Amino acid sequence: MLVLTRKLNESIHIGTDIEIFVVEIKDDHVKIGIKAPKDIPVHRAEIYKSILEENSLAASTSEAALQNIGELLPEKPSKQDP
Amino acid sequence: MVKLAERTSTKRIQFTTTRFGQVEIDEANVIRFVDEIPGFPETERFILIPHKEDSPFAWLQSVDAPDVAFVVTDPWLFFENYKPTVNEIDLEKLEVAGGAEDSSDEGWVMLSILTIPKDPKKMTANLKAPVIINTRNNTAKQVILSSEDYTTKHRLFNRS
Repeated sequence: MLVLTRKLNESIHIGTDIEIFVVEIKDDHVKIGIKAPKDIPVHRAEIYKSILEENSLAASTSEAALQNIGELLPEKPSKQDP
Repeated sequence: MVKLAERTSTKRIQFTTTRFGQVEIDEANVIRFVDEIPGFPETERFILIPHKEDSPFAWLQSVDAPDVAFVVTDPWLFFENYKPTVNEIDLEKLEVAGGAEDSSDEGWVMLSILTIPKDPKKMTANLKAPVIINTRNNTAKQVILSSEDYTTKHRLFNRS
């Protein structure tokens, strides 16, 4: 892994169209700005990881798990806010 | 309820699944993921199998991996105020136009993947990363919403 030292407001180019800025440094937080073409997905690593993990959990549902669900459902599914 | 219009072509395909045994369907009903589902690079082809008549749930079953199947639902059946904003690139990739407000006649549907633990009362919906299917050409993608309002786990039933 390439490791570079940067100061506040300095940046790093990745290729020709991606630029990473150090926007703010405060205690142990670093605020990072990312300039990238809109077709490059940018996500916090833990979000992608949480989706990976949730997908794996979801895919392990057994057929039996759904059998008992009928009892949980009222005539029409209940609605509630997330 | 979670059902796509039946399509027909001349080619039928057969494949094996862990949960449903041997399945034979018209190839025109296969849903193709344009990008891999995070965690499942080995499969891009899926079919939608309704759970039961009038059930709000369906199975998104992999054609390529017998043991890979997700339970999915229409998120608005349970979360009527759900307002997912899908980024433009994902919409373009799926050749789906417009915002994610009402999917019924827009040529696409959105589904949420459910996680069902041992106690099904505690099942959750992944509202952070819904699946969008373009119903005109049966392409799909699991998109990640940037909104901080949604997570991968929202309880469907009472939290008590």
